[in-house]
Amino acid sequence: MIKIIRIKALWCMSCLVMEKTWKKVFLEFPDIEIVDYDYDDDRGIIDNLEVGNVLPLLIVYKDEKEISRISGEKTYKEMIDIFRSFKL
Amino acid sequence: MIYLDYSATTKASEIVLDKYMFDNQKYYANPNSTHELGVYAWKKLEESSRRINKSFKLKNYDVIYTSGATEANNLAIKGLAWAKKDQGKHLIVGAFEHSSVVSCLNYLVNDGFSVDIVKHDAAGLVDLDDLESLITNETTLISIAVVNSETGIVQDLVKLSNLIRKYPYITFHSDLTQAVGKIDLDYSLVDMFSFTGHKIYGLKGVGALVKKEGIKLHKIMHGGKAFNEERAGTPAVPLIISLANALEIAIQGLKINQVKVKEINDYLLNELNNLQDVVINSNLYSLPHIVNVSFLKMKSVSLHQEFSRKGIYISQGTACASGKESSSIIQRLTNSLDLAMTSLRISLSHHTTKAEIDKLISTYKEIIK
Repeated sequence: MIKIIRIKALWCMSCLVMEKTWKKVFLEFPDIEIVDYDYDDDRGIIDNLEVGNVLPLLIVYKDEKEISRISGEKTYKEMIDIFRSFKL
Repeated sequence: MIYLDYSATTKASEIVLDKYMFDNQKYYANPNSTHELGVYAWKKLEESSRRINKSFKLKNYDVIYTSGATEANNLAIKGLAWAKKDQGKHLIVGAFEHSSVVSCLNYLVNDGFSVDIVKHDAAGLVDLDDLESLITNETTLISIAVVNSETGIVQDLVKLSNLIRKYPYITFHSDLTQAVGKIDLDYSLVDMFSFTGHKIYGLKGVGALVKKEGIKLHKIMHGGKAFNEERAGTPAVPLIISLANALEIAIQGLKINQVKVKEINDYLLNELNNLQDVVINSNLYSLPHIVNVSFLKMKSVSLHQEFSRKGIYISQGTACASGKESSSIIQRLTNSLDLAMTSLRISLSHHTTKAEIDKLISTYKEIIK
């Protein structure tokens, strides 16, 4: 079971850029659970996730264990290659 | 103290400030009141709108008063998108927009809208072919700022307008916050634009969305009857008069101030070009008021602090990163994280002197010594 915590911010242009790519990518992986957090509004929840310096940030969990972090802007192909590497 | 952050805000001119103090004593009545004093205040609002339209050389445009450009952008983008949502839920935006525009669009994406970001060329100018290819029957709004706040790059408004006018069902909005009072524009080329008083030596707390009559906006603020149908709340009459005053002064002084700023800009660029490890990110399309520069020897976050400690006030870029360590706009323009992490914005005014530029340069040399 793959779960992704996706951290975005309203002011983040890269987050806006990624919206269409995510939509396309996640259509191909419909079983992935996505939980969205806002960088500003959900500080209490994401404080212990070591979000770092670059948004958006996707933290990928497999069977409750973190296996990868994807940050910043990625192309559709890059995203697909990363997801395939998880052998979903 | 040396202030070189005029694109962040300006100090209100004494003329604007003096008149504001006077108007506060005279036009304090609620313009929504029907007594004589209220009616007088209402007339001052109507007069301010006429003066603003005259300054912009516009006819048949409404002036909707707001608290500033951020609220004007919110009203324009969300208001138009929601008002036309039955027609379509597709919006197009420039790649170098201010965070107040980006925030509205991310908000609308969360509400089921689709947003495309138009490509740009190496100089930061909108790729018109890409813009046209993004337009669909569902597109209701295109929002592209004419002047970018970090690089000063000026888009070709005539070409943008000519293209968008081919699609009369699309409303063209532009955040003109950094353009008003700095360059001469034909404001009738856009359907709606935002601007604010505090960028043009006016007061903080007042701005406006100027829109063609007939464009319907969904209200984002609700309340009683107000001067503007689209924006509830008691109008701040003295502030609104001050906006008209600041705009008139800015437009009247535009040409002479442009010459002064260009001279200072030339001087600054010459001094910067004499330094090593410096890359100027602004380009020949940039207006002279904004110089974006990467000082490669030091991260902008540290250099900015050092300058500040020494009484020189310049600006870091808009952050793309949570740590505010790099400029998303410079990274997008240059494709270089190094340039983005070392970039600072120096913004100039007709008040800026060569002595201030000399101090900036000598202070930089001291810092990196």
